[in-house]
Amino acid sequence: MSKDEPGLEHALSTPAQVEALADQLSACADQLQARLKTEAVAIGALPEDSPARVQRREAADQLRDAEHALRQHANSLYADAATAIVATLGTPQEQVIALTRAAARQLRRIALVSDAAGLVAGLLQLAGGVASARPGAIITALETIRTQLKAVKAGLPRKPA
Amino acid sequence: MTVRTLFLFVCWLLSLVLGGCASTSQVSLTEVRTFADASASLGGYAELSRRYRDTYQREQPYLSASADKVARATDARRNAAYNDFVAVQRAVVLYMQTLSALAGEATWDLGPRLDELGTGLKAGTESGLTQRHIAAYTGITRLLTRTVTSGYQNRSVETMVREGDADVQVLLEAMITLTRLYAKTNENEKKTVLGLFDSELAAAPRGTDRMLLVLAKVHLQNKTTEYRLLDKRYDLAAQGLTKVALGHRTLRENLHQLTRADIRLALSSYAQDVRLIHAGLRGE
Repeated sequence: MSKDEPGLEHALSTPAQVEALADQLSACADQLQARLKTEAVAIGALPEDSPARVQRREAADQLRDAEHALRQHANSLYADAATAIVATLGTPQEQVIALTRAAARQLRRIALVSDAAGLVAGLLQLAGGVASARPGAIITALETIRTQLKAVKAGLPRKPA
Repeated sequence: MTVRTLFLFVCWLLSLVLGGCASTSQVSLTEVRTFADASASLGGYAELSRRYRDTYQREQPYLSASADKVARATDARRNAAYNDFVAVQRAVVLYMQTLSALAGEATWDLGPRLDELGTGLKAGTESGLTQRHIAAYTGITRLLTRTVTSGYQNRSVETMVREGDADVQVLLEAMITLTRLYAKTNENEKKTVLGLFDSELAAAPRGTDRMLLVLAKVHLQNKTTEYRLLDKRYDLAAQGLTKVALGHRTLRENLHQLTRADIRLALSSYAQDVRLIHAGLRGE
């Protein structure tokens, strides 16, 4: 993935690209929210004070906080697009979009909600790297997301406790 | 060239000159004026800009600590950019008002309003718009200044439209883009707020206080309605801006035939669409 490869647009070099990444992060948040809603219903059906309920509740709450953070990062990028703040990164745009799209798909389908934590952490790392315009952090984050996607796929299906 | 050819050529030349004169100084361009008036009064964008600026105030109660940190930083940037976002609209409105005056027979004092544009947009800082937008804004300001200082006499609708169209289109495109970004930000706000209540209610244990559940359900209902009404406003505002852009393009493409029946009809139609959208935004 060299900067000199011809025909590969560098990520986030235009407001439109920034907006596209924000759309992807929002989509990941949407899929995560949908999965968390199903989880909430399942939790609601569990007996009160059961350890499973407490555990799953905690995991779900943490992921909900992460969902909010993803949305805030997306809004931050929308503000960047609005004021045409762009910072060219070394990574091609399509790679970033393809990975985040794959992440969104997985989030919806994940069996054990707590398994999503690693993937979501990768997305937040990506958002954080973009916010501080650190290409190195972004590359690391994309690697994390790739690894987590493989792990999640390998782990399916797993039933909740 | 034969005498006959020369004669025909002179006749043709005269008809161009006379035709050109007739379309400006003698005929009042009613449809141009109604289009310009409607465009100047189009609402929505200013209110949605304010709403965008105040996003953090509304969503703060619902945010977790980590989300709040990011939200605050974005809030500062939105506030910093707000003045520029509304300045763009002021320039377009003033342009349309001037166009309307030119198309009618009245003149009016543009001076004081021009001063409002005078401070210009912030250039290149994190609160500014792109260089392209700033150039367009400056272009419109200069065009309006020329119009005022020439005392309207030598300014025709054609000149105004020809000189102003490119810049007006850039500014309208900026407003359409911003309206879209406002809408997407609102989507994330809506999903944060509604999503929180939705899943908390679903996960609530059987022993939860009845009153609390009722309050939460009512709040969710109210908020859902509120956001649904707002969604429509973003749509309407964007549609209205698009109609204004299309109408002005029609003007630009038909400068020498503004009195032609089908062009007047097209302009009337755009004016009507914009008025309807404005009424929709006022809740009529």
